Amino acid sequence: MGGKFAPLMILTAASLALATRAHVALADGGAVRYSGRCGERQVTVFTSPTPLRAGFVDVSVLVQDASSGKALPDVPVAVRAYSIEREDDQIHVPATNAAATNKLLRAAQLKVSAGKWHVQVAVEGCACEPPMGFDVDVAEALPPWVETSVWIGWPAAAIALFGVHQYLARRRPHVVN
Amino acid sequence: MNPTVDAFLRSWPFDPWLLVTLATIGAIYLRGWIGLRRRDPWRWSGRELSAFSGSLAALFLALASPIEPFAAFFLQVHMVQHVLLMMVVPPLLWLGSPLFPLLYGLPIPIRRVWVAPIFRSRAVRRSFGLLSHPKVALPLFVAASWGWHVPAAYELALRSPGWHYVQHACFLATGLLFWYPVVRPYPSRPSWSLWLLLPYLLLADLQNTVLAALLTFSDKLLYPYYAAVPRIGGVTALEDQTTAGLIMWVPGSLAFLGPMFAIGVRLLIDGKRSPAKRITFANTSIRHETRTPSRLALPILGQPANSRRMPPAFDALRVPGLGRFLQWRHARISLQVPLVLAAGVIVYDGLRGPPVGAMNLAGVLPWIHWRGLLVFGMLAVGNVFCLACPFTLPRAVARRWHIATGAWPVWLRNKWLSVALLVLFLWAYEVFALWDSPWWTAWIVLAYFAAAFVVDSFFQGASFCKYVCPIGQFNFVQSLIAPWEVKVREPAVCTSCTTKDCIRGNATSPGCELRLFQPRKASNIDCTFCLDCIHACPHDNVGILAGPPARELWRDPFRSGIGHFGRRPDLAALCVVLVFGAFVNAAGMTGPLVAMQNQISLACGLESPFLVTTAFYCMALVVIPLFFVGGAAALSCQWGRSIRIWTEVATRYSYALVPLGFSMWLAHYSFHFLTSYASVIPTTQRFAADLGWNVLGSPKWSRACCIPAATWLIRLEILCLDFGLLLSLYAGYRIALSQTPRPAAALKTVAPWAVLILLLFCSGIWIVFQPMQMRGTLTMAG
Repeated sequence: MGGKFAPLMILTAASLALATRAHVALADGGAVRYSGRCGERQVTVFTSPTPLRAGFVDVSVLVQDASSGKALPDVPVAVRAYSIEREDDQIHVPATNAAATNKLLRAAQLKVSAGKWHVQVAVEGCACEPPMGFDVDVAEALPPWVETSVWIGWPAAAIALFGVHQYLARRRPHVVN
Repeated sequence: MNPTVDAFLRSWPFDPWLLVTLATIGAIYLRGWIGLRRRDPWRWSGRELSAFSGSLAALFLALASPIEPFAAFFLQVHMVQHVLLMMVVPPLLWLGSPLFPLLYGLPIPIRRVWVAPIFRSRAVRRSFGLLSHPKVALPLFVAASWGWHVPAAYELALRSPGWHYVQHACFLATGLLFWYPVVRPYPSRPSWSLWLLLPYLLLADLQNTVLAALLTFSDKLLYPYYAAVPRIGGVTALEDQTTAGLIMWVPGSLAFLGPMFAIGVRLLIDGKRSPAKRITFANTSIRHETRTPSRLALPILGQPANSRRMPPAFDALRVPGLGRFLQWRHARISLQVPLVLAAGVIVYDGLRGPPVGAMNLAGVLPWIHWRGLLVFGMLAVGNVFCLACPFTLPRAVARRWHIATGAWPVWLRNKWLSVALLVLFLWAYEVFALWDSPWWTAWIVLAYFAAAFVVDSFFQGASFCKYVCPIGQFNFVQSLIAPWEVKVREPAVCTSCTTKDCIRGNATSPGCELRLFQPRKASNIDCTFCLDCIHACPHDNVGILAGPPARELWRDPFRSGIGHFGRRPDLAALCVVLVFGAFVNAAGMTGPLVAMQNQISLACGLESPFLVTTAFYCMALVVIPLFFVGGAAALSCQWGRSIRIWTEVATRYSYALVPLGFSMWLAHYSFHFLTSYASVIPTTQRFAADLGWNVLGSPKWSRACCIPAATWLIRLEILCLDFGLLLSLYAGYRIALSQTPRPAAALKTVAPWAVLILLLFCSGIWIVFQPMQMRGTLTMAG
């Protein structure tokens, strides 16, 4: 039993595996970098990817009512990042609900270079001293060919599959090629 | 509404890859199901279709619905995701009996040539038989469930996207294996007893209950990750864990016990009909179960490719509306007129407008939009530009009064002139920075009109298109991999035809001016899609038919108006120039290459890089191609022990490079088009304002400024090159097989060409990663 379903199983599983692969890159949130109370609000900041690398990074902020734990996704949030090593390297962007996949959060995309950065988060309606923030180490970006190695390399798998296909086809001479 | 619920309902991740994958699988299944239902409506009811659609919908819900982003905050949501992957998607998928619909839904060539050998492989079938046997499937399912719920493994999946993917893939794969013997999808013929499934499902439920109870009753948080993430709505991490356990327990048990109950009832009612040969695991022999017949009895695969008449190819002329339009006598002119007007605008603005390319329609329309649309059209349809070519319209109109009688010189009846003109154009494009000179662009357009008019005023037929036009030659060669071709529908009709109107013409329509006789025409080479043969055919036997792209590269029959590809070194040289030209043209705008040329000029004491650029183009378009193509041909002769001379081998294999060349053109032109398409808006506003029409508003030049290349665009470029690489390698292999039937010898023969193709591919990847000059755009926002 089952033998004749083998290739179908493989094809379907491969397709579904491809499908399951895709969502990983879109995962929201990321690593928790900061969590603290600011007045009546509990603020948690996430960054992704992990580890952070030069290029675009995502900073997501969850604002909650500190007493009830209720999420407050409509509270305006701004993210400011500055390089600890290069003072003139500063980024200031609003975090928006539209930029977040998880609508409980507000997200901002920052383009950062490698080095040490300090990220500050300002939540409307709560002034904290010291300001909410944290330091991050941003690693050098991977060489582009490493980052896209899957995109460059998949033809090798296709060629290998073709080799197997040809081997199987040659063993069955009635298969017209 | 509660803000958490509101946020949950709005949190839909956009996942194009998932959508495309699911839509493709769904479309193949639906196509196959419709075909099978026509043949046997009793067997293929809506039940299968509903179940399969349900499985795809459940997969979509698991991975691309609010469940996915919220799984990071709630273990209970994560558990719902896993239940969907392990207990909902797999049984629904098998209930859809997907084997026949998916096979039948595939295009016949793919099914017979590509899928059939895999299906027939005994090793693959045995492996699956082993894995889907209850004795193996159950332990795998249990191992996946328990293994991934070990805190260390679960934490790893939560913190690493890669491992999260592996976890989901494990759940889905083991779920598919587990549910296969339970569902027994048609047409499987299980040889074990249905009784076996009762302990099978009971054991599965038992382990699920124990695991769920551990989660539910534990007073310790098993996964510390959920303590680190913020708790929302006052739900503590431990409460969340308890709920997750209950989700695993109750719906999980229902998923196992429901089928167990149904199977039990069936056995009680219909016990005599069940093939109760073995009852327990202990008596079941895996070796016996996995023994497979020597020939797979699947009628869909069993037919050899040529045993049944192939269905007619899809014909664009049969498409309602489009077909009627294309068969209209004035279809071509109606497409040409707008392009003539566009050419007029380009000439006017090029001569009268601002001399900055990015602010002038002559700098934007031809070098960003036309080139981008040209390659997209080539990929999707074929040589659509020649169909709507504006340059031939004036001479076509003039021929109403003056018929050319001269014959094109015999010594020029080849592609060598075109090769020289192409090299000249590629060199001039770089040396004179044509993309940045509206004035030059306008004169090139005018020269094109004049050349087409003059050549075709003296010489018969479409001599300009066939022997001179560099754009036409580009289109002819690239359209070798296009999916559409103007060709005969029924060859038998042509055998009995005595008129030969498709080439001679008749009172209503001229025949083919490029001297392509339809019954012996093969490939898009020299075909301008002018549709004259379609209008002239008295039997309505010429269509625009879909076919496998690039197939003509490895076939070498006698082709009307062309001869054999393998005996046309001029055509091969054209291909080689266009292939290397693709890489050189793209490389010419990369920062490192421009800097290198400037440095060499400075080192040589030259004021301008003219000489260095000229030398570079001589090397890149003539010397290097000669060296590499010649070298590959010589090695190919030697390794393949061929008795052919190297020029013959070079000629034949040069066509294999065409897909990779096209992929480079596609990557390059789509890059410009997709980063700079908006530049036409302010340029048109400026043009209109210059003419005194202020209705379009004042130009916002920020739109004409370069947009940074997005990550997806670079991936798209790489993807183009990937497909070009594979198609080129495949074409080379097929050419080698056509010359020697032994695969080992074919591999040796094609090896040097494969190396050349890989070298070109690597250089393409290098080009894609280089900083590009954003030609045709402003460097600063105005």
